[in-house]
Amino acid sequence: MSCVNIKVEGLSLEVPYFDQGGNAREKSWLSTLLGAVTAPPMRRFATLLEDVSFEIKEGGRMALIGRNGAGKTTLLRVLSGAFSPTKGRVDVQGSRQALLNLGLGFNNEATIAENIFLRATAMGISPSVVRGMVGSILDFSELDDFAGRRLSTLSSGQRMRLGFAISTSVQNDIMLMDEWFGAGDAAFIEKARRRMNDRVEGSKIVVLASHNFQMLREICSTGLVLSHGRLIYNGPIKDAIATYKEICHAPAPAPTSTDAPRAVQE
Amino acid sequence: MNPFINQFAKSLREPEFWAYSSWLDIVTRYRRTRLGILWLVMPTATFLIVLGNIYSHLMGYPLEQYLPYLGVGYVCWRFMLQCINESSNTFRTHKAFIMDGRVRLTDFTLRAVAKPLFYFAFAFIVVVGILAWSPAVHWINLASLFVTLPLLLLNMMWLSFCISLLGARYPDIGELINTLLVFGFLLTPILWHVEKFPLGTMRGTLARLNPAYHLIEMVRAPILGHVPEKTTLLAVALMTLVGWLVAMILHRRYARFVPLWI
Repeated sequence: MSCVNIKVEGLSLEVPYFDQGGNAREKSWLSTLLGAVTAPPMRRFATLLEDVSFEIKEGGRMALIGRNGAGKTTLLRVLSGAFSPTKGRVDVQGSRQALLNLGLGFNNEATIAENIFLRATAMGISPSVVRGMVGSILDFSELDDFAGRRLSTLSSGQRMRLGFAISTSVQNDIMLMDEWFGAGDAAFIEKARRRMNDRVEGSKIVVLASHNFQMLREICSTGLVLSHGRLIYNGPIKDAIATYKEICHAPAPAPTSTDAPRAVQE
Repeated sequence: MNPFINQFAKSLREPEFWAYSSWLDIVTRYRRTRLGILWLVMPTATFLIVLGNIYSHLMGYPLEQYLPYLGVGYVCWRFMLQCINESSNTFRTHKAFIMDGRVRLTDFTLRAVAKPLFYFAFAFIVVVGILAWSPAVHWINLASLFVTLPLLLLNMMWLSFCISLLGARYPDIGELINTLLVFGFLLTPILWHVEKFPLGTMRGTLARLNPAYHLIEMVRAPILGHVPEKTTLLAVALMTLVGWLVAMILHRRYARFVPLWI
């Protein structure tokens, strides 16, 4: 498929969740304790995304903006293929790489080198290609001397570096990113930023969810503003950020569906 | 081709992820122990030798006949039990993968089968030892595994998939299975011979309603040098066909909801 393209038409997503009910604030400690057992969990449905339509053509750099729980991560998960829409159509052409979770699939007791194999094969890379990648991944994450050590001996920052190095070691047509930048020391962040820029430039489509406006302005050309699961603005990034600032200051609109949309809980 | 079969075939053709990660799980578990990989063999060996000696007396069978019988039966039972146990929450333990867009669910089902299969392979070393020792069986009978093992695997695959799907929606499945499996071992003819309850009697019929019995017997009987009962062959054939059909239907109907359930 030569034409990389994302097309979303009338996308709605309804998700089941469990509501334990009750209000812990009003009860005594003992009744809270007992209530945890006796209150029946109610299976309800929440509409996380409602009637969202947009299209991203090859070369598109799209920012996803919205308040917490507006549906940014959920939309990324729809685009990554994890959630299939309840209503509407989602058509994604091109190989995609979701950078949503850097710690994915690590085995704490295995060595660093084994973990590189593990993660890379989990991403669908063939073993012969992985063998060629191990050196450069160790290099990039500055963990050369640790290859034979167990993963659990690494600090969380080092682990993040490793995850980042593996996740970004292949170039894909479409990159889906959630806000995750942050760990790692200053020197590594600079290196990571350069690698990201390379990857972003190499990708044909980038979708990035973030609250970091400076980064969004640098990377994205258009912005998509979500509020309570609805698309309220789709246009140039400058105006999108302005729209977002407006809704942040305005009082939240009353939810229209029976259940207020919210993010899927763990 | 049916999308479920298609997906399964793809997963089988690309074993890197599920085979390697299951293998690592096992190897790393014993890496820091003194005896290392010996732990994969020892529990089975102790269990069989100790229990075999006691029960051959209790049941009144000669040891050289009883030990191979118990050995093959127990190792098969453990394999099936581990498959079922692993798969009851396999989608939930791989939630991070699924949320990241890796939605080929059969990969995770195969992980739930691969790990027990590795354990099975190691435990079978003990069984081979027993068969070599026992004058009552001929080791050439092991060749029957080329036919029976794939059949057993085929059944474990559909079963694991169905259970992992149900387990994703209802976490109760894991608990329920734990309850059932405790007495399943005693209920299934592993320690005892099904001949105690001949066909035609009430107990004989009940014992033969147990699908685990037929799967074990299908593997066990040829190794011990006799042909399984006709009911066993029929039951296994039926289970394989119906099982895969059910798995296909469940897959078509429910697979897309799994990310929402977990």
